[in-house]
Amino acid sequence: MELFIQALAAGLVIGCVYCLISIGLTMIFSIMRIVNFAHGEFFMLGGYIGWFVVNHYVSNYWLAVLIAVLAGGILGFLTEKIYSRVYGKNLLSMFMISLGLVLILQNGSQIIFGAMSRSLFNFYPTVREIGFVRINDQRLIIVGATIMAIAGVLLFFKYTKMGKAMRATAGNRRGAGVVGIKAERMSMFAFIGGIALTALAGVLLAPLYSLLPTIGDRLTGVAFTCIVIGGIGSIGGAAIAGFAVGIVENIFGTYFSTAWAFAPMFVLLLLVLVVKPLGLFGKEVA
Amino acid sequence: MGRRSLDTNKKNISYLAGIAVAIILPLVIRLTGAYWAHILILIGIYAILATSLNLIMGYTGQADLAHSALYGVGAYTSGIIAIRFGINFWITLPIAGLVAVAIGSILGLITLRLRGTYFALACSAFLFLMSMVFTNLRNLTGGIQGLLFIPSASIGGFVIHQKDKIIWTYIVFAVLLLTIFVVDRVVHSRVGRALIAIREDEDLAKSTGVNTFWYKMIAFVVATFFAGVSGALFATYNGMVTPANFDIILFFMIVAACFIGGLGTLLGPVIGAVIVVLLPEILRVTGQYYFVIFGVFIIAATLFAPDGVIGLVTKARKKLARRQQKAVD
Repeated sequence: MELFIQALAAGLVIGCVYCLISIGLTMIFSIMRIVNFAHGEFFMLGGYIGWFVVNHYVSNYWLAVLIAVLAGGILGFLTEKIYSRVYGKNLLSMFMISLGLVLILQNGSQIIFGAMSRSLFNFYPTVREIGFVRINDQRLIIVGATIMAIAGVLLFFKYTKMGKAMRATAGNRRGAGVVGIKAERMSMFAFIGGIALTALAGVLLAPLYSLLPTIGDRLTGVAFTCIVIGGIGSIGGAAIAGFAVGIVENIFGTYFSTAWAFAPMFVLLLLVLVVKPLGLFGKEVA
Repeated sequence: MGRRSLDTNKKNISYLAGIAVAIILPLVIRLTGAYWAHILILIGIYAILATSLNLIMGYTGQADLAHSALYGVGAYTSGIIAIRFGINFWITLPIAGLVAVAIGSILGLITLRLRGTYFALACSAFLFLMSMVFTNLRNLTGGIQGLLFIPSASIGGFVIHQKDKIIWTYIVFAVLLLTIFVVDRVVHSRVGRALIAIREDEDLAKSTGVNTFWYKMIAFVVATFFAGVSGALFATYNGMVTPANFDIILFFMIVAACFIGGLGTLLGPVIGAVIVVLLPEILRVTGQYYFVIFGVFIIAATLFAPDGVIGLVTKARKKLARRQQKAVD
């Protein structure tokens, strides 16, 4: 029982990270309709930027988080500039752009940050006991930051004018244009927000895992799985799927095999696609 | 009728030219040393993969991201049966293709009902799943170290070693020509017209009575067979396979080959394969930056030559024709 709860808690923490990445991806997808296979690379970059700030400039985690998120926003802005040039063309053009980005970002960070694994200093390693669960402060920070970020995103989309405009663009781009919403600008903000969230996930997890230039590949797979399971374009769906995937992965890894921990996720993805292609919370989109 | 026989003649001449190139090129390259002969073999294998992928991606318009995983299935199949049962390469070659088709058919039955992005995502799930199988099914695949000491091919008592580059080049080129021939025949048939109709507008194709699912399945199965065969070629030539041989980068390269060469054209993928294999080799002079530069090249190619090399050539030709027309006027 204790093992189960421990696995559940670990799954919840990693689920938070998946959640942030998937929300970032679904924000971008719902407005731009692109398969951004380079998405995980921004997770990797978030972690590396945090590491770089702490190791070379100031030994302050929160500053590192702030800089990583800002850098994510800037990278998102630049990425959108490239993607928008092939907007509306076939799926494969966008795919090719993401392929180019993967090559540039992965090999670029290998040149800048080195090919060996790095890890961000853990400023908050104190282990606490909450109920049955032993958990360190960094993990609590991940959970807290994720809850705040999700709440922020949901409130933004629900109540602010720009959030509503973005939802309108996602729902019907042309219709939104008719009422005076600039779709290009909405894509830009979606990219800035989406990539910033992904970079946040990277810098949050960096103190607990070792960074490698290739870690993004796996995260891209995870993020796509989550948004399909949750229903493409649904932020709440992506969040729930993120938690679910994290928990299933950890429990499967604890009881069966860590090497196969991702297998149930991909099987689940295929299943959802066959049985309910629109995902658990998805709506038909034009 | 006259027109048709003219076209057939033209095509036969192209095939003869292709065979001539396939015979002469290895002999010329051999003079420059074993390294470039190795590159030539790689180009051949990539060209087989890209040509077969083009059938489903270029002609049918389905973003099949599982191709390299099925290539891996072929490679592992031939390696495993050659090591365990000592089966000759000439028998493992078609078996690898058939096993890939068997697994690919199951995938196709599940995913080909999906469209666009959803199909692409389902295929990518399969890609991730297979890479996990290659790495973790240690008893069968040898895990992360992979399969070592895969027996060489042989004819009678004559063994074709890895260093016999010319013979290997001929084997690979023969399979490549066969692939091009089969894709050509499929495309210029009733099936091919159905596939192109699906690419242009799937709903419309369906409404005119085309069983889109089964036509997509035919394209998928044909493409998968050659993916499996090229896997067997690679495994036997290389003598070993590891999961790293079938990573996401390889899959990117094949798609890039199709795209840069020209999707939905017969020779585009071959030209693309030459570019994606050769360009990184040439860029090696830039040291560690070569993959970054290659990435920039791919983005530039997508933005400025969306129809690939073949598209550029066609455009240039049209321009030339127009200029000549003007000159006549």
